[in-house]
Amino acid sequence: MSARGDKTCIVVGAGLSGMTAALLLARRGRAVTLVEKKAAVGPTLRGFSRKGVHFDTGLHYAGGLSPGGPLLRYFSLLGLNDLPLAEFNPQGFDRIRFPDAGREITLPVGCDALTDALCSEFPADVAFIRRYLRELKNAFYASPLLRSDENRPFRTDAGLQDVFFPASTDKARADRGFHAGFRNESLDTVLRKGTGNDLLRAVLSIHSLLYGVSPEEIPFLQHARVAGSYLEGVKTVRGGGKRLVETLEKRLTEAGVDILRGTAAKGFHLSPDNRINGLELEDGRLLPADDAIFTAHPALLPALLPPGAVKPAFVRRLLSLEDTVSSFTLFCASEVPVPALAGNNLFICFREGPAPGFRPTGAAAAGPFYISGLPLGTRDVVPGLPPDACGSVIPPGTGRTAYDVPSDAGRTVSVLPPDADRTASDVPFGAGDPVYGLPADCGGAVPKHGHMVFAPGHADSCKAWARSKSGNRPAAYGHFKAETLDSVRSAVLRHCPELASLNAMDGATPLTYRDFLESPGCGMYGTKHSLHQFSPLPATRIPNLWTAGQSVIAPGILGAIISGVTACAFVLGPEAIHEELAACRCFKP
Amino acid sequence: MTDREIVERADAAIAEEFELDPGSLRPEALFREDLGLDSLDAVDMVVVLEQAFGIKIGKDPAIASIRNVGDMHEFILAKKRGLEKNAS
Repeated sequence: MSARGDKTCIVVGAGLSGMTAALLLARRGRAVTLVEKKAAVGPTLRGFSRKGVHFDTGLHYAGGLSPGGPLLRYFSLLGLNDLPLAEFNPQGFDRIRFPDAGREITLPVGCDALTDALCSEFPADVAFIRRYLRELKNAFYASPLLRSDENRPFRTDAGLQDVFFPASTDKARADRGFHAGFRNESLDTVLRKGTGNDLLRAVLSIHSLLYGVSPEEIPFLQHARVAGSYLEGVKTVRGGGKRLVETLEKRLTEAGVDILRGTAAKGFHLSPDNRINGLELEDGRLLPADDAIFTAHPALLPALLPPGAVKPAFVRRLLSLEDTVSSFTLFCASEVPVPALAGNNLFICFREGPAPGFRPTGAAAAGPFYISGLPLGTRDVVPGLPPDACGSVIPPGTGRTAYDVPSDAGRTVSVLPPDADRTASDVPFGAGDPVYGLPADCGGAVPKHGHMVFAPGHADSCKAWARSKSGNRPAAYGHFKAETLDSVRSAVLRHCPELASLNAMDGATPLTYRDFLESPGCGMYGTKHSLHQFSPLPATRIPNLWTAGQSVIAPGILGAIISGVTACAFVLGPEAIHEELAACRCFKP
Repeated sequence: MTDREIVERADAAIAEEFELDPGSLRPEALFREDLGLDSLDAVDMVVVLEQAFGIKIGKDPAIASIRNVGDMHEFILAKKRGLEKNAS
């Protein structure tokens, strides 16, 4: 108990799920401490900058952001209603290029529009396309966590209870077999049963690249939880993941959450009845706790538990979980707008579909590739700033606000702050604006946004350097990284020459992701939701410890938020969460 | 590997990983009522058996009907026989 007499809750990890959980708990009167190892909260969502170009590593685009859509409802729950949203091209938010088929398929926003577009591209498969997309939508909304008309969305007693080791009297239940989700077929199986057209199968499984599990392994239902969201309201936050995380950080502060940044957890303390009663930090402090939520990678949990706290089998399972795919990534900037990436994302895939990229033998340059685009209305990159603007800071009170440089389109360009720690879209301009300067090396142009080129990667490819740390990698690793990324760049340009203006400013390998994402197996989205393994559940073997994060419920922005909400439903009881959700249901009917 | 060796290896792994008295693993012993294991343990058991035998079990629907130690023996023996059959 804290001085105020509130029950205390510790949340380990300030990613999106941890921030979600901390906020809801604080709002319901808990004294919450949010512990984050990295220097800032939401490190993945926050992204990073190079030479004034921001790279949004956490949020590229999201679905379910139409009025009344599931993600917007959860934004509302978190007090993020005022976030400005940016749309992608409604006629084509995703373009999928198939170099070996000489085709490019464009996916429009909206279930009906998508159905029409695919039926026109694949006229022989009209019946299957209609059935499949209906199923996808149904499967997405089958989750009570996503259905807006569900009166009691959270049942913490659902799930595995009594499914395994059924009571000896309950033979009938045992014979009925598994929880519905376990009977699920893989996405690939569902698609193969429905169509012999490999190109159509590739199109319908392309979004597996957004959660990092092969179509051969992902249960169709789990695929639907991500891909189904792209049927409506495909948008992003204007200002990207960084604005999302900064807004959430404000809400956390307003709610009284104690945020410990740059603070690593060392170990939980347990009472004799095997309940958590505190968390010891690396700096030696001991925080008392009545409840705890762990949101980091599941494989990092056993090290925080004292010996004997849980059975060895539980530890073994957490350490055995397979990670999602990793990546070799190019972080690129262009000084001129790239029409191929304006208002849409671009995928480069082959007829075989995305599956080969998930196999450990797959070479990065063999793809498939995902290249992040920019939403509509992103201010153009404007070349031709006066050279003396570079490296300058405009002092306050001089009457000069920002460099007013008319672009080709007659618009005014805003400029980047010298610390390059903000995106251009954050920068207000006009009379009375605050002070901004330009990065010293901007070369007379202000590249505003970065594009990321993702190729598949696997932890094994970097095994030889697994012991090295960022900033201290051996030269051989450097050569390997440069060669691999160069091969990715060549392959992408071969298939997509119109991307030639993209300049690589930095690159990442699976090892980069391991360290940046604190993901021991290098996975981009935590552990796999797969037909072949059981994902961690919110409940653990310790009665007042819960887990949340992409590995637990589902990956992505929506999955992470829902997993944080679900963990809170365990701590607070489902009624409390039901009330919170009901209160925000009226948001934009 | 004989059936007897398979059963012994399974019992040894389960006793160790779930901290059970090896003597309690009689074929008729019910996991839930007699051994105090639950659904969460069942999920962990899959990984214990996978690693004890170097096989992949995953979400095999047959796991759901395991109620006692004898069911578990039958399950793992069937799994091993299935693998040998496929290999030959």
